[in-house]
Amino acid sequence: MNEKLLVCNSLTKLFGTKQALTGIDLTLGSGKIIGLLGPNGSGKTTLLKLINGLLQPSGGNVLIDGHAPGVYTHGIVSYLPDRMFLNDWMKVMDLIRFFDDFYSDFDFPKAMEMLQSLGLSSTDRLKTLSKGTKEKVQLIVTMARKAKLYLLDEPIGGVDPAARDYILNTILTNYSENSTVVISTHLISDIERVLDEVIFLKNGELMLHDSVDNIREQEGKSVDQLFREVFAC
Amino acid sequence: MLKKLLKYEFKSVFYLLLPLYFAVLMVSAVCRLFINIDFLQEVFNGLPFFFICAVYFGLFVGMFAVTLLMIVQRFYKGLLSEEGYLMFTLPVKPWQLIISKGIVSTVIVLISGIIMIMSIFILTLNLGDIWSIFFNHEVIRFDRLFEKFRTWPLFVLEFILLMFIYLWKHIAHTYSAMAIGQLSNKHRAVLSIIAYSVEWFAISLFWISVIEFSNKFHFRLPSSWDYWMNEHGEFSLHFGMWILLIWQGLELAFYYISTHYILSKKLNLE
Repeated sequence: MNEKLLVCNSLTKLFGTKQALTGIDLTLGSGKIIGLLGPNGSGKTTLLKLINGLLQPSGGNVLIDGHAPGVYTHGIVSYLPDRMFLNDWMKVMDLIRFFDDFYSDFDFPKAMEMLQSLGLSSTDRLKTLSKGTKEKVQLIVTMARKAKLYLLDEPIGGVDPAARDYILNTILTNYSENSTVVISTHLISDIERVLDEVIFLKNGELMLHDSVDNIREQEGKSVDQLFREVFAC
Repeated sequence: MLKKLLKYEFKSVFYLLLPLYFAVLMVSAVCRLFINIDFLQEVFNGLPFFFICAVYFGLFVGMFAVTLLMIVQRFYKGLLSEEGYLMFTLPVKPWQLIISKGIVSTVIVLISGIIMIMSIFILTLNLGDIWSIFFNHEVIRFDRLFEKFRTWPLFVLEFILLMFIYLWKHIAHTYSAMAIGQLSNKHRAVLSIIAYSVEWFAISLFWISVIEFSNKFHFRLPSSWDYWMNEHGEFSLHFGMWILLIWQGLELAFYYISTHYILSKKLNLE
């Protein structure tokens, strides 16, 4: 078990003069499911993009398993962005083979099993799929990896409630002692039951990082209730 | 990993281009049939011939338009837009992404050029003509040419290399401009066009300055060099080719380095 799977040291990101993240200090260990929570524009996606090396920090640094974002970390981080990254010319099977080719931790049989469970056809062309189905395909290829760190940006936002349950169960059954799942979402009540820890972000600042059990014990309220209080408009 | 990237990059362009190449060759063959067989023209009263020529022209122009579109689209959409979220989180280095796009784009431009030449051959030449050009010594005395110009295989190699680097340089210029354009959050296309023009202007100015500088300070090679070059015509030809190769290679390196720097240090995905 790695106590320092993800470390952010004074992580700061500026977009022009706008401060998207301000001095984030954060350490995440392995074997946990963590909710990354905050209202729109709080910096959740920016944080995930910095961890993936899709943005460069304006200050501070981020280390995953002791390494700065790069080839090594891309091999151990499985990232689901909040948008469609699919190449339209591909069929579902092409995408699965693509992942199998590039990621040594990709579990091909598991991906096929997940496809079947969600009733998807591997011969469908990606551009003919609905938005929700595309999201499911993206989630399948992301979760079919045996990664050390899963970063899921709004994974359940666009899917139906039945698929949402399946996805949450997949996340629950997928993670192990060696892996951590970070889920960024607004749908707190849906995921609260699976969370071990939560991170609250507000205006690019870290408001809270604590275990769900501690919050319930000390605050005497659910994460959803606490979120509504902290981020009340 | 570069091999895998190339495999997927080729697949992503050929799914559209291969049918187009095939269509251009087929339609040029049909056109040729109409040209050669008077009977067909008489029976159809010239109308289908006109139609098939229009289709041929459309496909011909379309092939180049799609090729150009593919070059821009595969880089912009594939790296700087939403697909970039996948490509930049693969366990590959940015240089591998840039090189794979560059190689595939250069290859498709070359193939489109070859298809164009083949289709013109189909339309205009008889097999006998082609035979005459290359093998009938009365048309072009290749045998004499080869006899005098013994290093011609090297020249052919240099020429192919030069073509490849020249095309790649122009593609890399486009990539570099798009990479600069993505630095803007709102006006990416405008900034790309400005960057393209400024880079072109700066590079031209640089070479003009180099020539002016060498003229001003009378950099001259020793006269024995001129004599040696004149006496060894083949050598001077190869020398000229290598000067061109280095020149184009330097420009290519400039565009590649600027693109690589931006995509590794200043990536700003939509």
